[in-house]
Amino acid sequence: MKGRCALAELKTSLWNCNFSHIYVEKEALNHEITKKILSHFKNSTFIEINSYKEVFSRRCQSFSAQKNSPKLILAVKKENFLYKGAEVCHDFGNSNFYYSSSIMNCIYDCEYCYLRGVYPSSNIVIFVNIEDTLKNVEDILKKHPLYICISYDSDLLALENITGFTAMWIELAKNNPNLKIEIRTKSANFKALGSFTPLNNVYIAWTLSPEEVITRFEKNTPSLKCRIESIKEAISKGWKIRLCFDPLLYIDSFERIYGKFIDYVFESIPKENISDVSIGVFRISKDYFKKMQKEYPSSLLLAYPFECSNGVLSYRKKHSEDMINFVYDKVSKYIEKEKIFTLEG
Amino acid sequence: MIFISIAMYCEASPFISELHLKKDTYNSKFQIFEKDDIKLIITGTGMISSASALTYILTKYNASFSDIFVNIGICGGSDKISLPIGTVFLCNKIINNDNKKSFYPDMLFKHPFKEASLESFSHVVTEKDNVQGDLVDMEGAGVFQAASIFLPPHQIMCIKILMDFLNTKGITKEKVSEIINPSVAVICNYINEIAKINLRQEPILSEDEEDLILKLGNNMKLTNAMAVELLKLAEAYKVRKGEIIEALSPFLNINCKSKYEGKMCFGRIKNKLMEL
Repeated sequence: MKGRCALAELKTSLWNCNFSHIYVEKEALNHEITKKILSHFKNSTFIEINSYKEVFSRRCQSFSAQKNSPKLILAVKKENFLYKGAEVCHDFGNSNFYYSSSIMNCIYDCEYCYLRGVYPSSNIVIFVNIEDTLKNVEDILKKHPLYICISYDSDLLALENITGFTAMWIELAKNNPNLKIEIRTKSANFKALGSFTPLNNVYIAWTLSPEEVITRFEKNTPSLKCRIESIKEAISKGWKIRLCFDPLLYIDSFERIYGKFIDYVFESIPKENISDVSIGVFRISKDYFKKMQKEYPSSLLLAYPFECSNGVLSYRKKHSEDMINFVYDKVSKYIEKEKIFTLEG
Repeated sequence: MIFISIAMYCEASPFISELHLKKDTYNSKFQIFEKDDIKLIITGTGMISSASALTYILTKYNASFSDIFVNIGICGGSDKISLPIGTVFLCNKIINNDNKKSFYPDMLFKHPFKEASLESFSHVVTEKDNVQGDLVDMEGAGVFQAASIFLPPHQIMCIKILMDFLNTKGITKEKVSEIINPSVAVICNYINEIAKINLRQEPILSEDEEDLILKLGNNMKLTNAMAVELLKLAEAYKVRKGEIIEALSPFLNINCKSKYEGKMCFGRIKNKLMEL
């Protein structure tokens, strides 16, 4: 046991700190946001690169090893400023549903996260030319309204203190009433938006899970209590709040754990201030799942005998329905049914 | 396994002594020195020679993802470097001067060295050359590119010892060993520390369990795809339940006469292995 402790200690002391190295594309070097980000990391080593893909897309990288000491890559986005919203995601009744990806990867390390299957690396890429994405959005808004989820492939609010991207999106939404945005987060960083006036077309969407799930499967994320505190602060300022009970995970004592959790959430925050709620079970593209399982073969979460439908893996129909129905019933005791959106696997 | 590549014997000799390596006399193509799980190969100078030697040794010893590769050697310093001769560098960027392609080792671990970029040339670099990197050598980019085929980028390291400032006059074999000697212990200690970190995921199934499942697949006349599926199901079952042999015990004596019969049996085993 002593030896094992010594080895664990050795492991900790040998890792470089997060963002110990920052790779910067030549084209991004003189960008104002690059300068702003670099000013936060004066002790990091800067390495100039030609393209972010030289670092991000190398062969044979270990996503899990890199999670112990993730690096930052600053790059310029040249195309694909918006992506069509995927069918496995809620559109909350909105047409023209898109998402943007100005940051790839997340500072958190959730065991069920699809990013583990999407990207070859767990290093974080920040596309500093956010103004090009915003300009692209403005051009489209001249033709039709848009509903954009701005924080899918990362947690934008968690990185707000170094990027300021969320603030820029809010500014855009302020000037364009036909733009609706969703800022999804697990962070407890609402204070970063404290100085903004709330807008009707901006939803701050918190993903919430029982503390047991957070501790076991959502590494590095804020506790449920901290997230709730942040939500309460946002509510007190008048922001539109969305709660996402998604993904629900198939775990032992599901009803006891999730039942207690839902009660705790709605007893802690004023339910009349919740705009809507989404409920969904764990679901993932078959191809992403293969990569995740290869990288994390001993994950109990991924060892469930999933069913595949149209290239998407999820729990068995009976389990999915039971989990969704249970949470739906619990939530509907607090929230009007028309405000609850469900998505099965 | 720890693989070390060094271009010349005079550079390698201090490491061979420090690590108590013995020559593997059965190799005629390259000089290899070894002890337990350390293999050191003398590659010769130049990117092609060093990449060939590295490929040879990594293939010969069937390198796996948990192995470590370290390229060690002397280097020249460009005018961007203002550190003394003998300074040890861990390279964080490696440029191939021939095609300008760049490579990046993953800098996951703390280390006691300076960091710098390295540019590898196909000729001896002089002050007249246009140098992009902080350091120059003749092997780094070649070995890094070759090693990247076999190993993940956090398991590949390029350690360079500053020998000159693009003026190779007066450099002798004795001088090389003399410059390297003071840094040998710290480099070897570092390599040993890194080697202790085992990031390898232990296989879910033991060798015996895997053999048994493969045999079961053969007995059922499964196709390759079905045999792979059986292994995957068995792994997931073991992760969920903590064991697999007991679950498969009712099926161990199966001996199917036809593929059709095998398919039926496979269906029954699948049902068992998908139990929650």
